[in-house]
Order: sequence, then structure tokens, then C-alpha cells
Amino acid sequence: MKSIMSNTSIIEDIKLGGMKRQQAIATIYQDNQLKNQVIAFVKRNSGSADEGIDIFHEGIIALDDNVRKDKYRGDGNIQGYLFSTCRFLWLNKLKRNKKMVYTDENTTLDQIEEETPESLSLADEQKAILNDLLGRIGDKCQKILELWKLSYSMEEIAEEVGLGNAGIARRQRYNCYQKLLAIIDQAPELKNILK
Amino acid sequence: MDQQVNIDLIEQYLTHEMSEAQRVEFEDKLKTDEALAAEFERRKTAHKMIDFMVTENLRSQLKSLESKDAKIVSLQSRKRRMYTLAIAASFIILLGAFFMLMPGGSDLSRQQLAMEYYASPDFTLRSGADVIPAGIAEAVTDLRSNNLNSAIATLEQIEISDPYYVLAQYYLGHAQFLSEDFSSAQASFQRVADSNDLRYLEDAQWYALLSCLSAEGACTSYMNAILNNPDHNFYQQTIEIQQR
Repeated sequence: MKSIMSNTSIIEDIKLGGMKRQQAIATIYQDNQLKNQVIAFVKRNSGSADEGIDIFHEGIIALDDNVRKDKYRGDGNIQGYLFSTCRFLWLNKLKRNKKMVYTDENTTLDQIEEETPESLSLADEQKAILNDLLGRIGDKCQKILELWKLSYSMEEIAEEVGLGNAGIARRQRYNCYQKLLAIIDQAPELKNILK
Repeated sequence: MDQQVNIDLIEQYLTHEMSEAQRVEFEDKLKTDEALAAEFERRKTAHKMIDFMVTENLRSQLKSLESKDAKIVSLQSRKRRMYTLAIAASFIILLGAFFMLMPGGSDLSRQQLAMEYYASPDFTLRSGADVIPAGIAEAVTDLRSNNLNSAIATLEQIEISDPYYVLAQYYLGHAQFLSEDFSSAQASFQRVADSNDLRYLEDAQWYALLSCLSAEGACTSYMNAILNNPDHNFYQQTIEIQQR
């Protein structure tokens, strides 16, 4: 299986969004070498293979989030960046769960500074509240806003969601955004959840 | 400052479209302009919610890929599906044109119209819940693979007492529509609409209308349900259908 070690266009593709981002994430996901490294690290440090896979996924999510928000500060070695992120996420999880942390590498939590997406630290009940609020704008609006956030063009959004043309997609995007803002106005608890 | 200008600035900031100098200037302005700061907080929350949605959806995709060891669902496959649908729609348009020339054949244009507007969802298992029951997950995989009969058989077994009944009925409606069993699809989408579950209500009303049109039924009530709500996600499309 190919490695993403030298694929520097992945970061640019995630930034570009749309189809390019999908392909970039698929490429990362298919890097079995990296995935196995992460699983091996987690297993060496009080975890199971399944937990290793989960952490590999969380690492991909963190990379995607950091790149899209212009917080990625890697040097182009995506494999190294991802492994370091996964290592941080796992050790942090162990620390939170107050499990014994034994690491066979010269790394402590204090030495690792990684930006992790907000959603990784949300509790299940907080996620349930957010899902409930988002549910109020409907599936269609969720899809439109998600595609918009991922830099799909209005033409692509129209095609993806089944709208007549880019103009309709633009109007729908506006209406959906207004719906979301109205929901936010009526949900003061969001301030505490999304600090 | 003009409110629209402020909104544009906020959105540019939140979508990372500002240069470093512009960002610094904007952040300085936030410290002194209370109205701007309040609107900024509101929109920042909206962006965070959308980010949450993006992240959760990516997590679902990755989990789904892991469990099935399948390739990531890409726009390409969606486009291929849309392309197939477009070919089917084109065929129906041609067939419709033929029958419209025949006496009493004009009813087919309603199905043609519905097919023009129908777009199947991407079946990404977004339900607002963390864990999707195995039966539904299996049916969704079948839907993705176009194994419609298998998906229908699985989804029909989900009982009304099941907490995921509404979701199952929603997917069932799509499976039936794609199988061209429009009357059954209409009934399934109607059951979803009747549940008043806000997550699916507007989508269900829209797809019930399209199913009804395809089944050549009396669809005024479906149309009115949407047209009575100008904020409805499918208000514009329904007006277009009405005009046509």
C-alpha cells in the first residue's frame, strides 16, 4: 500500500475543499503503513487495536480540521504530523481516563502541543444537544451548509443536493444560514458548549 | 458602519479570506465596536456548529469505511449515480414526449417532472445519533450499492416501536422511489411526515410530493403543505413544479 509520506499536495487539496479534499482524505485513510504504526503505538501503551483504529480516525479528523482552519503548522511530512497527533490524542485520552501511562518513547504530554478540533473534546450529551439543534434546520440545510463550509461551488452544491441551479443553491444557502442563526439566538446554552 | 459591510467582514474573517493585516485590523475593531462583536459571536457560533457537523460526518464516513473496508464515498461516485439518474430521466423525458403525442398520454409528464427534481440523499448515516443499529446500517450499505430489494426487505422489518423507525421509513421511501414503486414510496414518506420529526419533516414532505406526482395521484395537499411555508427548504422547487 502506498504511503502518504511524500504527498505534499494533500494539504493543498484539503484546503481547496470539495472533491479534492475527499480524495486527499481517502489517500490518508488508505495509508496502511501509518495506520499500523498508530495501532502498534496504542497497543504498546495500554490500548487495543480497535482503540488504535479510533485514534487513527481522530488523527485524520484533527488534521482535516487544522488544515481547513489554517492552523496546520507541519513541515510537509504528513505521516510524521499525523503520527504525532495520534500519539498526543491517545496519551491525552489515557491521562483523562486516569489510566497508567507508560510510553516506550521519549515523549510526555507536556512536550506535545497539538491543536485538536473542538468536537474531539465534547461530551456525548453536548454532542446530542448540538445534533438536536442542527436537526431543526433539516437534512437538506445541513447538507448545503456542510458543502458550503467545505468550499464546494454553488454549482456543485446545486448538483449534489438536487437544486435547479447555482442561483437556487445560493438562495437556499442563505435561507439555511438564517435558520441556523435563528436557532442559535434561541439556544443560550450553546455559549457554554462551544466555548 | 453599514450592517451588511460588517457581516461581509465577519464572514471573510471566519472563512479565512483575510490577509494577516486585515485580520489584525478586524480584531482591533472588534474590541471597540460592541454591535460588531455581538454579531461576530453569533456567526462564530454558527461556523462552529457547521464545523461540528463536518467533523461528525467525517467520523461517520471513516467508521463506515473501516467496518466495510470500502473505498471512501466520493463525489465521483455521486456524480456517476447522478449521471445514471440523468440518463434515466432523459429516457423518461423521451418516453414522455412520445406518449404526450398519444391521446390521453399527457399524465406521464408528471412522472417526468418528478424525476427531474428527485435527488437521492448520499446515505451517509447521519441521524443525529452516535450509534446506528446494525439493520439500518446494513440497509444503507445496500442502498449505496443499489441493492434496492435487499434494502427494502431490511427496512420494512423495522417496527414502529423501534426508536429508529422514522429514519428507517425515510430510507425505505427512497429505496422504493428508486425501485419505481412510487405509491409505496409516497406512503413511506407520508409516515415520516406524520411523525413530525423536525429532522426529516421538510424532506419527507418534498419526497412525498415527488412520489405522488410519479404515482400520478392527487397531490394538491402535498403541494399546499410546502407552499404554506415560504421558509420550507423546497418552497422554490415546489413553486417551479406548480408553474410547470
